[in-house]
Amino acid sequence: MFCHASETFQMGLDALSPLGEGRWLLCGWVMHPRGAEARLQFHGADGRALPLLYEGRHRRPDVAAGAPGAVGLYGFHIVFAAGEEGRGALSLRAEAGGQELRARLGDPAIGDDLSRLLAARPWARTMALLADARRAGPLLAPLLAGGATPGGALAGWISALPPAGPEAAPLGPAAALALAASPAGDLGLALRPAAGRGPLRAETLRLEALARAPEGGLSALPLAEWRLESVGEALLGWGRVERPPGTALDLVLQAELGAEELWARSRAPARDLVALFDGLAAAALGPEPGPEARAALRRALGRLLARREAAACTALQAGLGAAGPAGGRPLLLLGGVEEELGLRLIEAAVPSLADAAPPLLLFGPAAGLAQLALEERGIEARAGEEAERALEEAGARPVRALSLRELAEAMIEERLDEALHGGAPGLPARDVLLLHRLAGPGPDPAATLARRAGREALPHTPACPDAAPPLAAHLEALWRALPARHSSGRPAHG
Amino acid sequence: MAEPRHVCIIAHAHPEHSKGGGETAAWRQAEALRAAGWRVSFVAASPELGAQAARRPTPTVWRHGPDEYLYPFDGMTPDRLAWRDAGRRRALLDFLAGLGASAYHFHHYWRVGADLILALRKARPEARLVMTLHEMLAICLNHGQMVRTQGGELCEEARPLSCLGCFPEETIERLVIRRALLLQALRACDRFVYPSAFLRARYEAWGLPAARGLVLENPLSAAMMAAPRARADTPGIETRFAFFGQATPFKGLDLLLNAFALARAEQPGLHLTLNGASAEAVAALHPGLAPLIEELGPALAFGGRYRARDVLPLMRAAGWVVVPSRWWENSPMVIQEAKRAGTPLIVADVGGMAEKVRPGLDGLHFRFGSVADLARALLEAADPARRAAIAATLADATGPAEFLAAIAECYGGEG
Repeated sequence: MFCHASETFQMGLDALSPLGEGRWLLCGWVMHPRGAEARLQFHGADGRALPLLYEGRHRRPDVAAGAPGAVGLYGFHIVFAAGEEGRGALSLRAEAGGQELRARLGDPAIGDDLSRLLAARPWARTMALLADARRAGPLLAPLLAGGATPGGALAGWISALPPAGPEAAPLGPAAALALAASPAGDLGLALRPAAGRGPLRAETLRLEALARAPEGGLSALPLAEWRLESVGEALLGWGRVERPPGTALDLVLQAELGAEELWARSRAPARDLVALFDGLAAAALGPEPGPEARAALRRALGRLLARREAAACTALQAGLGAAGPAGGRPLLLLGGVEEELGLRLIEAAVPSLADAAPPLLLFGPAAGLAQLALEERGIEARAGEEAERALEEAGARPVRALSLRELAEAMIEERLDEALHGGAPGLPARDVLLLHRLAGPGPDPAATLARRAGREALPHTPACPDAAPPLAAHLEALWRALPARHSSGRPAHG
Repeated sequence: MAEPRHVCIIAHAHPEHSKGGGETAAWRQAEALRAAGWRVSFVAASPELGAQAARRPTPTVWRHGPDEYLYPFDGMTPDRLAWRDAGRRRALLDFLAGLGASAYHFHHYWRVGADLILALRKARPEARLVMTLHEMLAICLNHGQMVRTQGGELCEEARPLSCLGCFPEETIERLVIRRALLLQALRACDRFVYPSAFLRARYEAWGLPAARGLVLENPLSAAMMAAPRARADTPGIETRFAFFGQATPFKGLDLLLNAFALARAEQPGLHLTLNGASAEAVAALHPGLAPLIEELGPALAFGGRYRARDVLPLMRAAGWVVVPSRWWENSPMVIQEAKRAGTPLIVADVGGMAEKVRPGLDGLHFRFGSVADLARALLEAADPARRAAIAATLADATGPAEFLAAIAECYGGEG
């Protein structure tokens, strides 16, 4: 719906959509005389003013101004509260520089199918709506709700975007794109343009982070520490979010590569820190990099990791509780569950494992199979991401961790029960998670705890050799910075 | 009249289908026990049955004869140390447990499965489980030989990092887990029978409890023990050397042929017969030996495959039985048979060979892996006086009576 007062004061109303609980979202644009800000006021049937709860503005390059120098122009996403009022009773009055515009919001010229609008209009504006959803928090949360919830228009738009993952893959005008997240809330990006499309500039790139709840609903998260570094013509980025417990992280990317736009979403499984940066580095560098590109990568990665180090050290210092674990039987965590041989070991240890406090937490490539095998024998177990969630929920409960190698050694030495059930109670689960997520050398928390105990060195076998030195230095710096009770000092050898 | 004690012997093969020392020992033990009035159920793994099971429905246990059964092992892991097919394992377990034997005697764990041993322990807690060890498969990935994969050096102790040197594709984790699984299963046995003190030392260093170990030589059959020994006065017999066994890389045929050629260059009247190893098999295994075989001409004979009952006459026709193995050996049946035949031995000076052959009394030793020293031993052996002296002191083999007395104790008392 187009509203015209003069050459300098005009308004377009694209869609009005209910958000539930008596709130409405209005999408549109306004052109106003330069220097005279437009004031928008919503009214109900009785003329009473309705409260404006949120207003987000964005650019509208698609709207042509007759006198560009004389006007200001912006798009808006406005949330207002109408209470019990129906759409037909709502109106909008806009004022600017003594001019006035009025619109009945029940006018059928104002669209009411937000999903259609989001799909049809330039996606940059929908990206702006996503940014507004982040800023507005609960007010725009219904737009990100899962399919079972009314609304969810933004969630639907996101799900239709081209997928990208943590491994470098070509996409549109990009020779390689990698989008990755870690359980700790690390977010990373590597974008390398196809020949003739670069170099990329940081300001042409937008990234939004979302937490995906197990039932599918999304919530937009503020991105902290975000920084992009150039690696030749490519960009390498890192930032972090506070990931709500039990959620996975999604990313939405908008980038301009020359005259073309690139859009992508990432719903890839979370990667551990080393794998995350390794994949990003490989994507940014590309095949057969020259010495200059490799040096640029090391510098870029070093700068990003320095930012991460500062943030992670603060989080570790603040988060690692001085208090010991709560009482109660420790949770048993078995790491390094891999291959048929590992499964056979777990099956052989069933009589002793049956005495462990449920659930048994399993990590490693074959953790899921081990879970099945244990559950067939009546032993409650969780594997992989489920096991991490169980750790999250365990709070201060103590955790005792063993790798399968340690389990095997205990079996050889005929001290299996002591290894599984004896000795000190172990760290609180929340400390285990924090240590693992911020300074873990891999996907397996048992390896993190082995490093903590000084029993094992940090394994670094990145696919991108140039990522190894900065990553190793980063992890070692974190371990050195830990409170003494959490670090054995130098890593053990063997 | 009381029911006879019932022993179930479980072997990795049936001697009707394969002629290895382990299955032969298992069968001879069954014969000895039966002759002594025991009831013996003989249960053996069968590759033939496994081959059929891979193609079509096949019984999980096949009755091969009176109290003789075969089972397919195609449901096992590729290393044949555990079962992948839980159904087949269950079927075999149910069958074994259902036999109701008072003792289960495993000859080997290969093709039996560590998990099956544990399951049988659980299913029959009151039964005696006895394990005869035949080589060192649990300890060493290199076919249980404890020989380095590169260079063929003897290995003194299996340690994860040394094993990684032999098998770089392995991991410390896998090696440790493998050891734990096998150790746990073997520890479920009540007694361990080691045919040699050498093997006992290796397994006990590896983790088997010393208190449950017994060194007991594999017996020869009563018929073999009743056979005559070699005459000491056959002219020229000291120049006739014989090898008995298959052409496998660990048997050291290349070593023997090279040493024989060296010795023959010094003393042309020597003869060597290879029994059990055909010319084709030797040529296939050691293509580089073809010119040497050609050069040796009629001094080298290939006896071909032989029947078990023919081994003693064949050995009696030889002056010396040579065991040039390139691994430690446990207690080669060939040594027992040669002792029974009355034919002195020439063996490498390591492991079960050195233990079973007293130097100067039962035979001669040569330095392990040394062509020159084996040649030296062959020349020393070719002296009639030396041969006669050793033949006169050569010990006899272990027979069923001696074996039965000891094994009954393993089963928990007299039969």
